[in-house]
Amino acid sequence: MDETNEDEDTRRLRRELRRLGHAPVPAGLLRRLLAIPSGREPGWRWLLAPAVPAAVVAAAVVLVARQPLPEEDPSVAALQEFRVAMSYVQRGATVTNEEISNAIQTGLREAYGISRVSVLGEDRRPQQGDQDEN
Amino acid sequence: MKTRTVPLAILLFSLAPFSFAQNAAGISGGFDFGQIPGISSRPSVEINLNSQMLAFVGAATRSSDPEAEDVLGGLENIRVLVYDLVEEMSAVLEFIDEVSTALEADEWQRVVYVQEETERVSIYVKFNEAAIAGLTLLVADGGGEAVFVNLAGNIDPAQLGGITQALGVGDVMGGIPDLTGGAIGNAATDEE
Repeated sequence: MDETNEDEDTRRLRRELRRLGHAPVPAGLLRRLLAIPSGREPGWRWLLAPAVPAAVVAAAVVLVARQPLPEEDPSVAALQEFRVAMSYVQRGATVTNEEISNAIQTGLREAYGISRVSVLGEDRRPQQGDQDEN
Repeated sequence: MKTRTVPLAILLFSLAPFSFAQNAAGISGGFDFGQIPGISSRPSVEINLNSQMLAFVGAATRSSDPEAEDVLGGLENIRVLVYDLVEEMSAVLEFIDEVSTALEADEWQRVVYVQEETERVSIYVKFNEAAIAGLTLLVADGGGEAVFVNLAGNIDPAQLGGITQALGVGDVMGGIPDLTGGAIGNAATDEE
């Protein structure tokens, strides 16, 4: 802090204290008040100047990165889950269909085989009990 | 009072193995599968859609099917559990048999039953008067996968099948006899 600034601060402080009223101000108080850093004096602050834009950019990047991702539409999420759930029900239905088809095919095949034997007499070979029947 | 508490506790403990038969969250047609034996891993697919989520589904399908909202509005809950890696399939098969017994005791009707040495497919339906109040699907295939599905609420098979068909999944109810008026009847097969 140079002398010019100090004098100016002192004058301003005295002026403000005077404005507060006529109560006596202890001499030590004025010194202590003046000793409080004003924040103006560090001459090295100019060193920070180039870093400021970079810091602002970095802060912006951090802020953007920390912003929550846009929330997924609950309708879309629910619809997706519903489709997955139904696909599993569909699988059950597919298995059922296959079993029904197999059961019907097996039944038809057996019925067809029986009818061929009974109507056409195909593959009919003498059975042990045939003589007993006659 | 104490003399009554102890027998009650014993009774509750003795009923514990059948606790899975309780309705899920008190929903008629709901079914909580509880702890499934023979599986230590978490399900590879776990879906739990409550009525609010199903309302979202209805809203999402409104543009393609105006009736979907009403149909899905009747559903109260959909629960799906899929396990890819079943360590002890025999335990899961036993579990399915126990669940089947419990469901039948709770007036669920079996519409599909496939039983093979390493495979089970069971589909149960709970009727509420003339309407369907619940559908439970239990599947264990020989490949080490197990699937458990429960649909609870007022289910209109034909309309629900129409919605799923419109969504590209296919008519999920069309293949299940007794649900869409199929003339095939009960598809139970027993190849044991």
